[in-house]
Amino acid sequence: MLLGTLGVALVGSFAQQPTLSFGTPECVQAGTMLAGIGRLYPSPVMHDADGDGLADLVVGDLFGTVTVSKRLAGDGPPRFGPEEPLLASDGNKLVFNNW
Amino acid sequence: MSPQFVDFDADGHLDLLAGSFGGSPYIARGSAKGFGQPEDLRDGKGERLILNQYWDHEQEQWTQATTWNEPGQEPPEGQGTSVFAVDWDADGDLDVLLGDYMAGRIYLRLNEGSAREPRLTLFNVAIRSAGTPLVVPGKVATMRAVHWDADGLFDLLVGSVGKKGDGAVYLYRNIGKVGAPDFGAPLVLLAPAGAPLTNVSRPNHGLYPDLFDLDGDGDLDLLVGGSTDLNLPKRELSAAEKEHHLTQAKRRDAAKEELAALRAEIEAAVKDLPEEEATSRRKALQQEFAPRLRDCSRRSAMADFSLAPLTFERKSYHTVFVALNESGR
Repeated sequence: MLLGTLGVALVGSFAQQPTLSFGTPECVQAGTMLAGIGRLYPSPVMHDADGDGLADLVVGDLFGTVTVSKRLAGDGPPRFGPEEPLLASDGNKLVFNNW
Repeated sequence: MSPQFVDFDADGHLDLLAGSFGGSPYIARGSAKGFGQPEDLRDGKGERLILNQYWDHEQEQWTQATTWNEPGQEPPEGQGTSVFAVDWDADGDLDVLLGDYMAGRIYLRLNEGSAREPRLTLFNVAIRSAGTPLVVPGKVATMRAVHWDADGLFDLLVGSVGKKGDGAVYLYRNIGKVGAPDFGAPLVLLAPAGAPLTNVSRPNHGLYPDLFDLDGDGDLDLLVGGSTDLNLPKRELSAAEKEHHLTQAKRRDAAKEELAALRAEIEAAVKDLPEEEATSRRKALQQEFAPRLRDCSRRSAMADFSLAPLTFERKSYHTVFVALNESGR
C-alpha cells in the first residue's frame, strides 16, 4: 500500500462496506514548532480546553506531561497555537508520574 | 499516555485519565477550581490497576504479579500502559479498559459501584472477539472508544506499538449489542509501513490515535502521534544537502549550547546552598526557566527533524500527524 492515499482495508464481514481512504499524513503545526516535537511518543486528543467552543489540541507524552495548543479562530484549515503546559489548580504543571 | 477528558465520577466536572509506562493509570480529578494533581486510579479494594508488570514506587523496581489475573485464565505477561473509561455494559456508569503493551490484549474492569461512586472490579478480564480474547497485532499503545459508524454502539480505535517499525491504527467495529460489545476483524485506518521509511512521513512505532472532524466536513479525520524510527543507508550528500546540513546542525548545536548554559546557570545558583535548600531552589529555578528550556529543546529537535533524511544512523523522531478522511470525495 502506498504511503500517499491510505486505503482502509476491509476485512471479513465488512467487505461490503464502501471503500474508505485517508489522505497523506501531514505533521501538525503548533505555533512555530511541530506538535509533539522534542517529546517522546506524543499522544494527541482534541478537547475544548479553554471553553471557547473550539476543540484545542491536547498532547500527552511518555514523560507524563500534558500540553494544550489552543485552536486559533478563523476560517480554513485548523491552526493551533504553541504547546503550553496544562496546569493544575495549584498553578503547577500537571505531571502524570511515570516510573 | 493518551489523555482522556471524562467526568469519571459524575460530579459535573471533567477529570483527566491517563495511562503511564509504570503499568497503572492515573486520574487528575476535576473541580470548580480546575484539576488536582494526578493520583492513582484504584479498584474497589483501593489497589492500583495493574496487569502483570508494574513499577513499584516504594521498592523502586519493576515487579511481576499475577494477583489481578482473571480467575481460571492464564493471560500472557501484560503491562498496562493505557487506559480509557467507557460505559461498557450500558448500566449508566463508567467502566475502565486497560491496554496491554506486552501482549496486545485489552482488559476490562467493570464498575460495580455507581456513576457517582465508582468501584472497579478486582480482576483483569480480557475483552473478547467472538468468544476468544481480542489480540491487537503489534501490541497496544493505546485505545479509545469512538463512534465511527453512528450505529449507536461505541467502537474501539487502537494504536499499536509495532515492535519492528510496523505500528498501525486499527478500528474494531462493535458488532455486538448495547451492553454486550463484540468485535470483528479490524478496519486498518493506518496500515503498517510495508518497508523501511526514508523520511518522517508518518509514525511507525508507538502510535497514539484520536479521531476528530478536523476539517469540518462531517467525517472523522485521524490524528496520530508517535515515533518515526529511521535507519537510512549512508550515501553521498549533494552540495545543497551539505549546505542544509551545515545550517541546521549549527542551529541544533546553538540550541543545545543554550540549553546547557541554562542548566549550568541553575546549578551555579544552587551549588553553595545546603542540600535541602538547593533541591527546593533548583526546582523553583527549573520552573522559572521552563519556557526557555522548552524552547531550546524544541528548537534543537526541530533542527534534528529537518536533518532526518540526511542522517545515516538509527534515530527516532516524535511528532503528531493528521490524515484527513477523504472517503466522501
